[in-house]
Amino acid sequence: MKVNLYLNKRVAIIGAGLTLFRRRLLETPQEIAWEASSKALEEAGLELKDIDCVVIGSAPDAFDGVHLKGEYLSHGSGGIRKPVSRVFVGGATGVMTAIAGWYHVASGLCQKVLAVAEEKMSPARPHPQSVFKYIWDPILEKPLNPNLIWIFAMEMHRYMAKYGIKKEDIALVSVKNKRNALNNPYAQLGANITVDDVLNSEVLVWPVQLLDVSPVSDGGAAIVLASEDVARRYTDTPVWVEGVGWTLDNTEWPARDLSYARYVEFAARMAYKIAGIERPNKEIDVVEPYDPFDYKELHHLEALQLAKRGEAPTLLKEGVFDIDGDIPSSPSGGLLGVGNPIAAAGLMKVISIYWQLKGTAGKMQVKKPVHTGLAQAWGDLMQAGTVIVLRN
Amino acid sequence: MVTPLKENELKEHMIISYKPNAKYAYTAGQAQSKYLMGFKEGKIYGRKCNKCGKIYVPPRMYCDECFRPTDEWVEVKDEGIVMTAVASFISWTRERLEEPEIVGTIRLLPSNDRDFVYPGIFHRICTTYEEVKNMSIIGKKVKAVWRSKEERKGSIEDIQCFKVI
Amino acid sequence: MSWDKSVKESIKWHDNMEVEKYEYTVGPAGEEFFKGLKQGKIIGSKCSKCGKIYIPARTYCENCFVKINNYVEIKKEEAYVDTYTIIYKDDEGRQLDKPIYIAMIRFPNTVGGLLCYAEGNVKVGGKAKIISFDWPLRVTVE
Repeated sequence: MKVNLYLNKRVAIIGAGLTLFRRRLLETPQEIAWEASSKALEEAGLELKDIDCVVIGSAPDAFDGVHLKGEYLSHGSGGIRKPVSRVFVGGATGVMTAIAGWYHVASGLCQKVLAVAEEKMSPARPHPQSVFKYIWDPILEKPLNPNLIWIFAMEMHRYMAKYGIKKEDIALVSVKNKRNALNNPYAQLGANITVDDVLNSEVLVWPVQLLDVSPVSDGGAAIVLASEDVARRYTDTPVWVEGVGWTLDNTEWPARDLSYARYVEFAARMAYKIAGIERPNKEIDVVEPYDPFDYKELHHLEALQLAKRGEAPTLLKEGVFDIDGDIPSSPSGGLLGVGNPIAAAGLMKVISIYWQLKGTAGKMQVKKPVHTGLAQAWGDLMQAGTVIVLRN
Repeated sequence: MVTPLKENELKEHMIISYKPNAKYAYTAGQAQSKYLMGFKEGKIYGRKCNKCGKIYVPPRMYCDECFRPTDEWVEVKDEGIVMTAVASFISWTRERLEEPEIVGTIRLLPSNDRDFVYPGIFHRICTTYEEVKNMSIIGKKVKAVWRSKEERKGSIEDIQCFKVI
Repeated sequence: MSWDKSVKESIKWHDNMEVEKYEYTVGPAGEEFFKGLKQGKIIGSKCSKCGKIYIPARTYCENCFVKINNYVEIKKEEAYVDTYTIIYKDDEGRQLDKPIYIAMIRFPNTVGGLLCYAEGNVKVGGKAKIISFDWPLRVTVE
C-alpha cells in the first residue's frame, strides 16, 4: 500500500489518565469516563475549555446496554459543544482511539485533542460473555450456539499444531504478565502464579483454560494529544506519535489459515513505513502486544515481525520478552494482568508505552533505556489490527 | 476514585433492570439462499471467481480480492481436512457442560495444503475428547454426516457433524 | 446480483439479538437522588466553580469538569411544566384505554429536567405538584 510520508505536523501525547480496572464498578459509564479524562487533563496541565476536539472509543453498545454509547458518554468525556467522533473496531478500538486522536491533530484541524475510551461490561446478564453470541454470522454460525472462546481455542490449537508448541510454553506468558501486573496500581489480577497453576485451572474450551484468559472488567482510559508547538509549551518531555497503522480483514475466518495473523502484519508494516523502521526487532525497545489470551501475545509478536513464525515461544523461554530482556513485552501486565474492558484495554496499552518513554512508569519501568515503543490491538472475528509507534 | 464492588455487595445498591426486545428477520440474500437450499439437497455449493481462481464457501456474489462479481456456481465435496478442533465445556451463557461439545474448521476439497485461503466451513466434529487433546484429529480427512432427507430444512443444522473416514 | 436468475427466492432467517436482561447501577450521585426521592425530596448537585445546579444530581460539572461534592435540595414546589405530549398507543403499537400525558418538568435556575406522568390541566408553564415520588414521578398541574 502506498502511504503518504510527507506528514509535516508532529503530534505528541502530553497527558494520560486511567481508572482502576475491576470486575464491577459502582459508577455509571459517564462517571468512569470523567474520572479518566479529568486525570489526563490534569497531567497535561489543561482545562476542558482548552480542548478543541474529542474522540470517544467504545466497543459494542450491547455491553453497557445503551445504544449510541459514544454519544451517551459525551458529557463525561468533555464532548459537549465540541466536534466529537466515535471510533469502534471491536477490541482494536483502544489503539484506534489514539490513532483517531492523532489524525485530528496531524491534519491541522485541531490543536489539542482529548481521546477517551471506556467500557462497562458488568450490566449484562446472565454473563457478559453471552453478549458475544451476536457477533457471529446469524445464519451460518449462530445456530451452533458458539461461545466467543471457541474461536480463540481454535486459533490456539492451530498455532500449536502447526509449529509444535506446547501448552507449557504458552502458559509462561500468563505467568509473566500476571507477575508484571503486581507492579501496576490499576491492575485487577496481579499475582505470582506458576505454569502448573495455569495447567491445573478449569478447562473452558480445550486447549483454553481459565488462567489463559483475561477477565471481564469495567474501566476507562484517556489521553491528551497536542500539536508540536502546543506540546512544547506544556511539557519538557512530550512523547511523539511517530507511526500509525490499521487494517481490517474479512469475516471468513473458517476459510483462512489461523496460525498467522496477517491483518496485524499489514497494520504493522504501515506503521513501520511511516516511522521509518526497517528492522523492527532491532529498533523497537519496548512493546505492548494485545494479549486477551496468552497465546495471542506470541501470535502477535510474530505478526509484528519481532520474531520469526513459530519462534516466539523459544525467545520467550530465553527471556527476551521479560521485563529485563532485550524486547520487554507487556511491562504493564497486559490484559491478562490488568483487566479487559474492551475499548479501554487498548488505550491502557498505549498509556503504558507513554509512561515507559516518559520515565514515569514507576515500578513497571523496564531496566534498559527506551526510545521507541509500540502498542498494538486486535478486534472482531480475527479481523482488525491497529498499531501505534511512539518515540521520546 | 472509582468504587469496585463484589457480587454480593451489588444488592445493597440501587439497580435498574431492563429486558431488551430485539427480534430480527434476516434475509439470506442470493448467495446464502442457494447455499442453504444446497444443504437440503445434501450438497455444498461454492462460488468461483475466474480471475483469481478463488472458490468461496460460503458463496459470495462478489470477489473481495478482485472486487468484481464472481462467475459461476461450483459444487465442492462434502469431505475435507480438519484444520483445527476444540472441545468446549462451557455453553454460550458460561454454564458448565458435562459432555464436551467438539467443533472445528474444515478445509473442504478440492484445495491443497499450501493454500492460505481455501473453501472452509465451521461445524461440529464427531470425535472423542482424547483425539482433540492429543491433536491427532488435526490433519485427518473427514466427511459430512447428513441428516435424513425429511429432516433437512435448508440450514446449517442439516449436517449433523463431520466424521473421520 | 440482479443478473443471476438461478436463485428464485431468498430465505428468511428469524432470530433475536437479546441478552437475558441488563442490571444498570445508578452510580453514587444517582443513589443520592433516589435516596432523596424516598424521603420526598428532589436532590440536585451544585458546582462550586460555576454555580450551576444539575438535576438529577451529578458527580461532576460537565462545563468546568471539576468534581461536585455538594448535594442540594431543590424546592419542589417550584416545579413547572416545560413541555408535554399526549400518547395514544403503547410502545408496541397497541391502543391505550385512555390517552396518557407525559410532561417534562423543570425547576427555575437549574440545568436538567425530569420526565413524568401528568394529569389535570396540563399546559406549558403550568405549575406542577408532585403527587407520587415513585419512579417515574406523577404530577398534577393546576
